[in-house]
Amino acid sequence: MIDNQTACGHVCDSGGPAIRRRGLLAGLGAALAMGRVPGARAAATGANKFVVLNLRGGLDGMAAVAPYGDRNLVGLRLPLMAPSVGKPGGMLDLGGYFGLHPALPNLHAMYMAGEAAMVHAVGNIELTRSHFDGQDCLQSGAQELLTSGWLNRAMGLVPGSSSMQSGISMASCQPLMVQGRTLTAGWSPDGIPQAGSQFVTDLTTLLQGDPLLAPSYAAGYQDRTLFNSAIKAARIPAGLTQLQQLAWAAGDFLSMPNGPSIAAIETDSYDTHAYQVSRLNTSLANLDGALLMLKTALGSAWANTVVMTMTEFGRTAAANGNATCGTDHGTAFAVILAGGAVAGGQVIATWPGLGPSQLYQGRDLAPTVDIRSIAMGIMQPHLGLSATAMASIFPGVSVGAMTGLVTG
Amino acid sequence: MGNLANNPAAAQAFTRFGFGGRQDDAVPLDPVAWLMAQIDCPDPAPVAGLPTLQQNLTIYYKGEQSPAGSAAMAAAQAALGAAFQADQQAFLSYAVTTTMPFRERLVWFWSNHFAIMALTGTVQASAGPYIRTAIRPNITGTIAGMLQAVVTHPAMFCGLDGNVSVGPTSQEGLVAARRGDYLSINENLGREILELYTVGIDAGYTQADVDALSYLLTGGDEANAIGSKLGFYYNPSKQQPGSFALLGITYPGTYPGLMSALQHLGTHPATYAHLATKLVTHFVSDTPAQADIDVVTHAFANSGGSLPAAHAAIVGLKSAWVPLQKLRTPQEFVVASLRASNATAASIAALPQPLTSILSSMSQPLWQPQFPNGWSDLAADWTGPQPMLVRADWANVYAATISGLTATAAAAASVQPLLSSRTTSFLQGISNATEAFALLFCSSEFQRR
Repeated sequence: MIDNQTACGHVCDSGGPAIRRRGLLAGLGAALAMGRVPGARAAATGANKFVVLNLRGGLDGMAAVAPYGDRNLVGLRLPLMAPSVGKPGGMLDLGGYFGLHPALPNLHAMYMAGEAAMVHAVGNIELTRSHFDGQDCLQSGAQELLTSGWLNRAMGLVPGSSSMQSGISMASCQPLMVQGRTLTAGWSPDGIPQAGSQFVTDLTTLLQGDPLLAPSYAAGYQDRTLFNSAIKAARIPAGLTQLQQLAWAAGDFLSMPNGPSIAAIETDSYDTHAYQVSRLNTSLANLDGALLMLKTALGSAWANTVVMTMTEFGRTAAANGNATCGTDHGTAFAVILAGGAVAGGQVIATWPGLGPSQLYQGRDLAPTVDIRSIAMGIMQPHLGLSATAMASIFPGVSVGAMTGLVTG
Repeated sequence: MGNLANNPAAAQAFTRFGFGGRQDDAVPLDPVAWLMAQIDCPDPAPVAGLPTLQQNLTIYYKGEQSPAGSAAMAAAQAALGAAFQADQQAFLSYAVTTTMPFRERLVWFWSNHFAIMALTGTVQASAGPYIRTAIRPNITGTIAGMLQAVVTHPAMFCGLDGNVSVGPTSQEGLVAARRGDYLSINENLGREILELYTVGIDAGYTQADVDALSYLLTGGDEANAIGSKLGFYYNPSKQQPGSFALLGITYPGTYPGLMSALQHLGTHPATYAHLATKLVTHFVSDTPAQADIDVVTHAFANSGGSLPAAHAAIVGLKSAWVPLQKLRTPQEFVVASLRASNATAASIAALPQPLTSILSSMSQPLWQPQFPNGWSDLAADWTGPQPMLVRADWANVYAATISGLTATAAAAASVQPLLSSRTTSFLQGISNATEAFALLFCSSEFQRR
């Protein structure tokens, strides 16, 4: 049997040069993406939007973006795999080597239109099979737990941020990635009537001098006025999941005049130790709908947007038995990039291979790129941040920014 | 018993170690003795009328074993949902009304340490019984005792996939292999026992240790035959044969072997340090002093991992008596507000929106954390603008339901010595009774403990 990797010459073993796989129709998609006259993009960097979608629990990158061209894949995880490309309910082709999970049709359409790209075999900053250590490092943006998150530090550096805060967190509870010196606006649908203005005035007076609570309430009430008008104007469609509501609202807020540049969204349900196939069908369909809602709500601002997913780790290359067909905590994962400003229609990977000697510690997909390279490769050009800024966003970073991730 | 106004230590005991005072609380003249008396007594929470594990699982498995979409399945699901709601309501009402609030805070702490995610299925059906039988009776025991009870309870064992983890060369594994199937270990439970529940991530264990504990756990199973004893049982035909080296000690793949391994984990020095850090962080400060952690670690080490010894050590910490160092979590905030306004089980039941739904709106649904590490108790995780606003919104909604009590009187009886003179005079100047209550609840002092 001819090794697909060497036969096609596109995919190299670990240590080899990175290659970029373009989708079969990606030429068209990319042409459309690049065919926009430069002036058609928002001229001011401040109009560019960056959305980080944290998929907690450890998304199985080899299920989301399956390397079906790797001859070892079937032997490792046949019971976990969707039908082949072209079969009913089959994988959605990404250009001849990778297949997108069938529950992601909207993302696939974005990919084919040059508005989405995948980066594979991505490693967390610290390689760990712990959810909690992994999320601490992933959100701190360092090899250790810090008291602020990397996205918060980025928010503090976004040029031209107006009186509107530069970032928003689509959650009631603020995840570590947005905690820090720059107060981050937050929003979530809670169903409790909002307190009246007399109370707000009095509470603001009462809390004066409280270093923790006063700034939080002050910022919250200021933002609430803006959010109320944005939500009222747009109306969240009925029948959406919680994640899709958050994605829609994020789109509304980001596209407001002087809206924030950065949004963070967290979701979970990716810790698929058992019954992975059915769980991912649900979770990824939810994610796919959320991406579509975000795009719809952003409207014309979608053209200036990059969405990046991240997760704390990938999962074991093999299933943990074929009775319940789950996977345990692994190492490298896949990152989804979506948005009009993505250099779309490509799967970017220095593919490490799935042979017994190629697996990380004999069991996981090996990482060949650091998640920070991707984040830097987006933020530098897209948010107009300098290399110096990157060093303060990711203290101690020694990897470089990946190039060619965004258009313009 | 005395007057709270003259007894700031009592106010501190109510607030730091309990869920805040009630107007009808007797004020202890010796707050330390009052706390100590709650550490070692039998669990005082009522159990009458609450379902047993056997009762809930009988309903659950009857539903599961009925045809999908059948009326029997729907009825079982409805019955379980109602039982779950009633159990949660009883749990919250007890925290609001108990006269032994420190003891109940300890129950909450350990329930959150050994966190279950009671979202669906077996875990939801066994959540209330889990707290009653695996947590409450073991508050006066040892870490190892509670660990063994927790791990062999279906809420934890099935919640982290122990029931679907099978030894590949166990009897069941071999039978499966003959028909072409492949069964193996599921690492979920083994990994979290090491990382979250015992020695902690910094203890230096390896993937081989995770594998070893996972193999030792393969004999656990879920009994679901209606009519017999339901829940966890040990099933040797699922157990991976052999011996397994965990943190340098080899255990046989048997039930006694598993119990020995858990006993060892529960008495490991790294477990003592890990859990002491969590306790001091929870009761004293988001940034606990190492010296305080050491005191509690030594209390564990000198007592074979006794929980009462550690709990008493926390009461003895000087730093534990420095007021208002911690932010209340949403759950603690809601319970404290209800206590300060003398809520009763009946008034809670009459609230227009159930407390469980309020807690979900505040992103801290009861017994349903997102992950097996439970809820954070750090201020940074709860003080974003949005969660702060939701608290204030609810405080207004709830304050409007309070009758027969003024905010000033409620404060005097529950928290007065901890309020600044500025807050006190500010509240006195608020003429709208509802708003005064909402402002009391949202004050700097009341949002802390």
